Amino acid sequence: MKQIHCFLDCIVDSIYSNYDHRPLLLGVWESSFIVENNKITYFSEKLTHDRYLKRFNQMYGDKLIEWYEYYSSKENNFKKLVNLANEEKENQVIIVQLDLYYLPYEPRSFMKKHLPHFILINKQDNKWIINDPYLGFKGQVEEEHIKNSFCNNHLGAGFYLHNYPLKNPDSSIISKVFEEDFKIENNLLIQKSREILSFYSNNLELAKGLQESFSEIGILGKRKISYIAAFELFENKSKLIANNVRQLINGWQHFGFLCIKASMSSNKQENLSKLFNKLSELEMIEKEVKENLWNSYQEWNKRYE
Amino acid sequence: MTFLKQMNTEDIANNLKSNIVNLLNRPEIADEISDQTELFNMGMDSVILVSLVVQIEQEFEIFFEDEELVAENFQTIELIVERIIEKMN
Repeated sequence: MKQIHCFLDCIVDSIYSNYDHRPLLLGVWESSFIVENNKITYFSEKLTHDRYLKRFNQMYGDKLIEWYEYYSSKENNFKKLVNLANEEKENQVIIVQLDLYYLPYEPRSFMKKHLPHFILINKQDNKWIINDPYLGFKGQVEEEHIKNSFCNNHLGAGFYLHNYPLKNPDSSIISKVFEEDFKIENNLLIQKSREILSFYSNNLELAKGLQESFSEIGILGKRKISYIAAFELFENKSKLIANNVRQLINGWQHFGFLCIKASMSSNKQENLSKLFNKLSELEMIEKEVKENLWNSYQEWNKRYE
Repeated sequence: MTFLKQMNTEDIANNLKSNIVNLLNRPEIADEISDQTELFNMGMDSVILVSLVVQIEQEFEIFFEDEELVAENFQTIELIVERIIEKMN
């Protein structure tokens, strides 16, 4: 399971060899985002990682700890990071948010785009080693790049995790977490996307902004792959369902591309109609996925309650 | 269109390479890109991909269906050339 959510991918990478990581991914298909100036974004000071922090500690034991001090300066927090890395405690991994703009291993963002991004980091022989499970990179990175990407990150966050020993979540806690926020009819991403499209329908002269409004939609779409982990957890390995989930992920990617194309096109009204139709299609696919997931959960629950 | 029909695979690939290098704004990678290079590893993102699609549609007088607009169809120059030739024929 890679490329779901950079923060969670770091945790999954740290625990999956000894523990079941799938419960951690429950609900990630509806991960947080906000709408700011008609843009759907998951980068904001208003969004925290508290939901995942609380959930991890609730399910696996209180082993995920936030070390980053939001009230402190970047430089002081960087000193904390250096100290943590120098400590090299057994079974402790450091998770930190860096800005990909300063990291040469990611050519799409390096010196081009500011993207806060979580990675695992440690020091070996006084050299910084990054393990980036989301982007599939593992290797040495110069301290200058680490420092720049940490201190110039417009957001900022850092955690450490004692990844052994943990407890494996039991069925009662899994049920509690799953039922807490699973609602078949809810689809905030569709709802907010429709509101944005409606805004552009009423303001066609501004429709060039579609590209920016939905520039992060592909990443939010990728998070729908967490449905597959949930189906596996609830012991439903139907290939048909997995295909539906993939159709959903590709559909959101496709929607993002259509938004870019629509923003470049002269026939904005026709393209907006296509986008509305695409949203309805995605809404139907996701509802079916959710109904199947709920049925799988009910069956699983009967076996384990 | 006659001129376009006379273009062979190599001509199309060279034309694409030049467009991609310009869109990426990285002239220094022109010699690094082969027909099999993963374009997303060279800095291609969704905006560049769609810009490339629009350029291809205009230059080759072809049209990509909305359903074809997915990243896996545009991963390498080789894949894109295959699609262009398929559409031109």
